[in-house]
Amino acid sequence: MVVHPHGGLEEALKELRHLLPVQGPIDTFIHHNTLHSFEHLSFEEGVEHAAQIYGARPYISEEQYRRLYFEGRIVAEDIDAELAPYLVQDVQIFPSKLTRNALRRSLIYLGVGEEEGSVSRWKHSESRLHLRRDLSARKRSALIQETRQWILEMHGAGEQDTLAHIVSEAPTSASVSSIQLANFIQESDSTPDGECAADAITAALLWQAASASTERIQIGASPLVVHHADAIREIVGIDIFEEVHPLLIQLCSTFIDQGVSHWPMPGRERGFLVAVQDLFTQRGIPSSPWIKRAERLFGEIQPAAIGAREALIACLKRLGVPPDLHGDFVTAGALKLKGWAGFFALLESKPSVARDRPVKASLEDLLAVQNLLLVASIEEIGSCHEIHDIALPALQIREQQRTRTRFVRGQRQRMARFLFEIAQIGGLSPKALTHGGELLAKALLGEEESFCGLVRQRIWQLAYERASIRSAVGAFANHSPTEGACRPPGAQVVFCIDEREESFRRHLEEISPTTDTFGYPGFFNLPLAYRGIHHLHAEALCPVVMEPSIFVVERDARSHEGRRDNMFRRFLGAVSRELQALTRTPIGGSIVSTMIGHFALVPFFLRVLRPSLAGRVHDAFHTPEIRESDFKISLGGGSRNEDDLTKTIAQGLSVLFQTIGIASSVAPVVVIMGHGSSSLNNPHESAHDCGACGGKRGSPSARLFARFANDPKIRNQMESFGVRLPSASYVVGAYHDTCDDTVVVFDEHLIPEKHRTSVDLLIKACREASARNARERSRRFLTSRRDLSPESAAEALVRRAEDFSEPRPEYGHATNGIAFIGRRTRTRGLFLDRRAFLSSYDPTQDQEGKVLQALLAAVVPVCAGINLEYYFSRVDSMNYGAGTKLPHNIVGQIGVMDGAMSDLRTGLPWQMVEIHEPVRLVMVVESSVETLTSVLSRLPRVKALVDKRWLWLIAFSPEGSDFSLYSDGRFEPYAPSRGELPKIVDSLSYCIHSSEPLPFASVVGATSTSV
Amino acid sequence: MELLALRSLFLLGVVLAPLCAFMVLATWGLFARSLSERVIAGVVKTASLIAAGSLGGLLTLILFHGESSYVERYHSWFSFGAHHFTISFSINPLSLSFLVLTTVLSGLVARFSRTYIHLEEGFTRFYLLLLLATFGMTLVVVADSLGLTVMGWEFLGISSTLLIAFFHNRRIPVINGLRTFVVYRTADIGLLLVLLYIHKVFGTTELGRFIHEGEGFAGTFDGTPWNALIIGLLFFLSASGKSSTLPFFPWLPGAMEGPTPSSAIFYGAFAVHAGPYLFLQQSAIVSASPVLSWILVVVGLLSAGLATLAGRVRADIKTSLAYATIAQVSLIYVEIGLHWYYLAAFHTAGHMCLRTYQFLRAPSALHDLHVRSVLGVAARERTGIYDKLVPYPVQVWLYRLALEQGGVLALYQRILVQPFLRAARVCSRFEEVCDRYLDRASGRGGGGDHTSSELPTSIARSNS
Repeated sequence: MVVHPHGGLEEALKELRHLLPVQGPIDTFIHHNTLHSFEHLSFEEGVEHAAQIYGARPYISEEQYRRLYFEGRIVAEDIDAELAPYLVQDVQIFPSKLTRNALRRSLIYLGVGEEEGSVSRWKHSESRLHLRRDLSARKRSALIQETRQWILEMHGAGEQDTLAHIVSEAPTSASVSSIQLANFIQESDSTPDGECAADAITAALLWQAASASTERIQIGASPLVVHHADAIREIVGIDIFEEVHPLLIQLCSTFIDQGVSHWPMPGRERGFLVAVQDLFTQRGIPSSPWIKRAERLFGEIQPAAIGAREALIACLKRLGVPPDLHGDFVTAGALKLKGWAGFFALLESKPSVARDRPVKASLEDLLAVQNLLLVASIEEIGSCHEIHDIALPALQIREQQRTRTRFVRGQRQRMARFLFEIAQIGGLSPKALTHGGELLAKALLGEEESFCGLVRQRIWQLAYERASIRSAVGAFANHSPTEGACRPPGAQVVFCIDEREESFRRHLEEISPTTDTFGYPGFFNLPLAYRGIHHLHAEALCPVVMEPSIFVVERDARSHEGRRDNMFRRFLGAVSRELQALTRTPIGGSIVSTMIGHFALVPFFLRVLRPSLAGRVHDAFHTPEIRESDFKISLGGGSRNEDDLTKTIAQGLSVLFQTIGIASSVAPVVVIMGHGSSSLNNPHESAHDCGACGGKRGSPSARLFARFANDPKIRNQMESFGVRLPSASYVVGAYHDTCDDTVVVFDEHLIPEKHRTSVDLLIKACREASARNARERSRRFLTSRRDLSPESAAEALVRRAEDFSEPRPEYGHATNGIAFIGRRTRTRGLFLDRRAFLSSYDPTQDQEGKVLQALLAAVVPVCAGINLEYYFSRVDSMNYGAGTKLPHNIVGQIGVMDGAMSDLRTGLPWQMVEIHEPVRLVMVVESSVETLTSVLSRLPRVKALVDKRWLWLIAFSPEGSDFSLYSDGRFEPYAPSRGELPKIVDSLSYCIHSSEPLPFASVVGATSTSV
Repeated sequence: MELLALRSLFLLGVVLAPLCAFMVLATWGLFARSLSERVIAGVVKTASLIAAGSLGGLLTLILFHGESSYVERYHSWFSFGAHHFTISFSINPLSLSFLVLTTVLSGLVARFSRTYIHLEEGFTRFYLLLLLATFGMTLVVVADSLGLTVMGWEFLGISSTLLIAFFHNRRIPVINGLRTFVVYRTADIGLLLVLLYIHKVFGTTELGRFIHEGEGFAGTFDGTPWNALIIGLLFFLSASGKSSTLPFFPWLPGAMEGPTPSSAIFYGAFAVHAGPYLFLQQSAIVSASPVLSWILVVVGLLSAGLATLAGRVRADIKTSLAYATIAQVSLIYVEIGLHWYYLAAFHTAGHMCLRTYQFLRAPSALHDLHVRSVLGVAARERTGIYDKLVPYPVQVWLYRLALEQGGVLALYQRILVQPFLRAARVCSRFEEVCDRYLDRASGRGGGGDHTSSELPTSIARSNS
């Protein structure tokens, strides 16, 4: 891995900052493109380049693609289309048997063993050598027949002993007796045993021929290692990172800790390097020899005095790293601890991330400490194992000498393995392979290089996405739009654009045909900095790309009684905090566990056996129920000028009404539905919250929107912005919990009497829709029962959210793959299987594209960020994702580690992404090509993203149904596949019988009733 | 009479239910390719219910029958000369209450894991080990003869080790599992030696023959204080290995590698408390030897101090809970050394319930924090007095000492590991020399021809 050819440390450090993951504390999880720093490259280049640097997977494995192919998620037609550029020139590889195109085709459809290194070796040595199981019967028998003839030609029937020898020489082949051999040659045994022997003999001879033909091939030198650790691992079998990192991780974790440890690290406010130096210059503490050495080293170098950069250089000199390798060396070390290093870099640029215990973090400090410890450890190993010259070049040479034989053997074996497999799928018999000799071997191996696994995976991925684009466009093209405008809407409900609300909206419209639903990013165009009654801090409730401009503090408007109630809850909270802390002290812990420890069984029983009851009990004591409160509102800079305030807010609200296209047709009841998620025992809980609210719950935004929109002063002001809310309209704020599918309505006591009936009706419909939504969601959970009614499904989901043994409280954004920006009439009644972000936008009222521009600027980063984060966490859970959740261990209140000690795990855990289909987002915008092009040119960041294909962009003409796909800088007409969508009566009966992804469909029942 | 038969049947039900479930699943798993989660969960649930039902029956009978301390003899396994190895269970208020705890906690954790381990590779493995551990702990709780205790002890040990290494595709869990295994094996020598020792001195391995139970913890011991000291020290060797106290300090934090429920059941309940239970059951030995009592007090205090110190500087939930656990268990040893047996028993039971629950809830820390912050309850720094009383340089020194876990491991490395390795290296050199001499003597030139073969088998071998 060579990241920077010039080796400069300066550059390397700068580049390293881009390579490290940027993930803040996970209690406010913000989705972003995991490979954000590779966005200047095209998607394919970016993921492949990153894979090389991180040692990660760029795509899912060929085997997984092949499984998708068998499941019908990828189709042959698309594969062929993607394969075509690679099949331009056909070449004979083996006359009359194998051409290059045929070989490439079989490499795609059949593949060769993909396991690498130890797995392949293990498989090879532990399982019997046999022909591929997926070989067609014809190919198999032809191969066996040819082998038989060859034996006859070569050896005659008499020399069975020699043959038996060859066969038994082959690795782990079945022991074949000479009788079986004779039977094979004379074709006299057709029993299963005989078949088996024939298989084994052919395989053994084929293997023999394959390895013989690789024997002469020259093997080049293995690449030089860039780090002492790699060399030392080969030479003495010790991984120095495993020795150094436990200590280093502990230092990092206590340094950045935000409230778990009893003692914060002394000196943390003066920086990591200073604090660590203080610790390591203490005397008289028994510690292992390498740490003693580190103590001496800290004394000698005095890193805190000379600064991190100088200390780093001193370390590199001491390790004899040649100057041109400085950059690579430091980068290699840092990437071994990329989670922690990334967090240090983040803290350095945004110290406010450390909210509770301020620290002065710096990436270079961390690198200096890491390398100082490495020096100590390497020198100690050098002296213990009598390695006198620990300079990197010397170690590189030693490493090469030591591994040369193994490397050569490994390479030969890999080649032989490839030839062995390729011969079978190409129908080359042992004879052909032997005759072809080195020349044939080289031709075949050349093919392995030019048409390598990476190329094949890329073809698969593109084919997969072709299918995804086709099904999305096909659904929009073949769904007959409903005429929503022909009737006055009874009610309007505005949701977040989140794809989890797609099903909710669909069910609501099925239940209540006169209700229209809309999608707008869940901060509802109110960039709030919000502080609830008891909240300790104000939180920014808007997309991360924005700055909050409206500052809101909630105040309790209730009587004395209410305040006493809150005091009581607060007291309980403090008691539980103190008890938790006490159990970790010796004396307090003894008292607590002896006196009341036994009573822990009560919540334990409840939580395990009756989660929903436990949840209700907990809520009764802990969740503040604030019905009546008022708000102190100010603008940035503390300005409380009434007029400015009214104007800013009115403008914000107006933009929403205009964007979704109801500026002049507001219904009597409008519901603003924020969303969020609450679940237990789930460190990644916040990753399920609203992305448009900066990874927090959207309840305050919805509640405040309603309050503002009902304010006559603001309504008046809104008219000046062209939005008329008739006095007969009333706006209600509500909140949808996407985990337990409950709906909460805010400020019910404020609803005027004349609206109460209609609001109640609508809320009732919402509740019913959320129950159906719960039923639809349960189909993806394998543990939920198949015969649930919507009501019992809703109950089960409430239980699931309160169940502390549930690692999958909800699947979050998993399965997202489409974003639609346009009128709901285009998608109303379309079953999109919770795959689509739906953003409402009326192109007919936006000729210049100004509204679209503002919308795209907010929607694209949010949707693409979510989509790409899910892509990477799904594709490589170990490297980009956080791995399985089960051993996760919360550290420092800011992240999770695996088990007792590991790198900080960034990305999403496997349990969140396991059902996700890793495809790029297909964004369909209802807009003319011209408008969209001009909007794009005004949004350079979005354009760059689209240009580099980190998402697919499709224009959907507002008048007809023409589609244009953006590629290579312009829109090309895209012909959707014409054909009927499946017609379904209602979405529930269509989906609940399957737990797999379903084809899109038209809900007929819902559209026909609107007449 | 019939009631007595019923009583022994119930007891058998409690003890054997986890073993039977283990056997059923293990045999089934051997023949069937893969078991569905539903089947496994069904078998485990049945076993838990049978165990709980039998336990309920047993408790009812004891309540009405009146006799709460007795020894249930089932079967003489083998005998030679005057020695009998009988399978016999000792029932008394202490073992009954721990039997209840064991059954209840393992049942709850099994239910918890049903959803928690769902879809994970190794679902079957997890439940097999959990059942084995439950069986082991039950044996330790009810065993009357030391032989059975050792058996249960080993089941507990091996299942604990394998669960630490549950995620065996990563290196660290396997390394930590191996470490724990080494500690267990070393510590287990204690119990085996007790077995030999009492056999030699008292001619039996049934503790009941020379330790007579009295009312409560007022048992009497037949041997001399000297006997008691030796037995007690050997017990302590084993017990401290399981509880991760001195001298086996501290492998426990490293054991947090397994899935959360296994950490909870082993290090919140079973493994760490098996040691204190052993002493509580044989409290007569402690009472009989003042020296042993003092050793328990001193070593217990030291471990508690060390664990607290090391726990102060941990920033992750699971290991800081682990250190807190060690501190509590050490204090339980202190209470036993001070002969406060009732207190120790209460402390052990309460701590088991509390800690298991806390470990299971560990991933909720952020949720709790959020709930509290919505309630307006701030996190509080706990260093107020400490900061004021202790001067800064001492703070730094203590911090470093805490990071080094009191320097215990480094000391061991210097005193035990390094000499051992050095000896091994000398031996290996000696072997090389002998080899070379023999090669020359037999006229075989140069070694290493065993690697010349190109076959993958040998590659695999040489790489391993």
